[in-house]
Amino acid sequence: MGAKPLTVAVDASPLIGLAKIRKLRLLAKLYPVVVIPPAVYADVVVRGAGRAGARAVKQAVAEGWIQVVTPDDSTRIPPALRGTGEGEVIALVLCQQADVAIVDDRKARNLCDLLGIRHISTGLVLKDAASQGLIRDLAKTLNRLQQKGFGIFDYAQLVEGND
Amino acid sequence: MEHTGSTQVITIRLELPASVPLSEQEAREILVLKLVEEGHLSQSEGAQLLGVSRAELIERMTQAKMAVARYTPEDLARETETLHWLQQQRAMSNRP
Repeated sequence: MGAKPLTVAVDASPLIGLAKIRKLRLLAKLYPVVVIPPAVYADVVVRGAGRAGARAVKQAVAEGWIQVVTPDDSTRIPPALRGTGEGEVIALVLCQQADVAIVDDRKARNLCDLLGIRHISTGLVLKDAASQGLIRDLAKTLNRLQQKGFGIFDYAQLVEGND
Repeated sequence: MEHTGSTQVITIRLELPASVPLSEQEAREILVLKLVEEGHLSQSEGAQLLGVSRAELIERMTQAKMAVARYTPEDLARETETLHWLQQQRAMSNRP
């Protein structure tokens, strides 16, 4: 890894999901550097004004523990995701401005696999938090996420074999 | 949202029996949400097509019983591997 601290690039969906259960700060506790691209900031804070995550993300950026970072090379944004938050998140990893992408939707995850990019999603962030003792009951937390309108219908599998 | 001029679009016309209790808007929404769930559209693209925010898209998918993040055994295996890598990096950087 060298001297560069571990950096995660986060898409709108995990930010919104974590904010719904008031767990956005888990990102700061788990990962040394948390970055989002401008399109994700626009999706959550500007277009999502008054909705889940808008206030929490705006505050996190103001406090500086989430940094808004533009991909160094916009040509690295996959053509299939041009003009989207997911595309800019992937570009941040391709430009080596982040080590891991945190994305939920199927298209973004498939594209990460195709490009050989490390990625996890909201459920795995919560699993990581549980393994670090930051969440006491993973099943309960996943259930609460579901109740708050963030569908992870097969979350029981995430709890099985939890270490 | 800006798009490069190269983005091609197709237009779908769909004739449904009048007895189907859905407005055009509702039928359109079901299709777009399903395309997001299946990975043909990203969440951003789906939200743009429906003219809603990401937060609304997520809530509508959940209401329609569609997964915002689905976990197949393959997803779980791949992401657990990355999770272990992350945990390893963390352990290494915590070492004095």
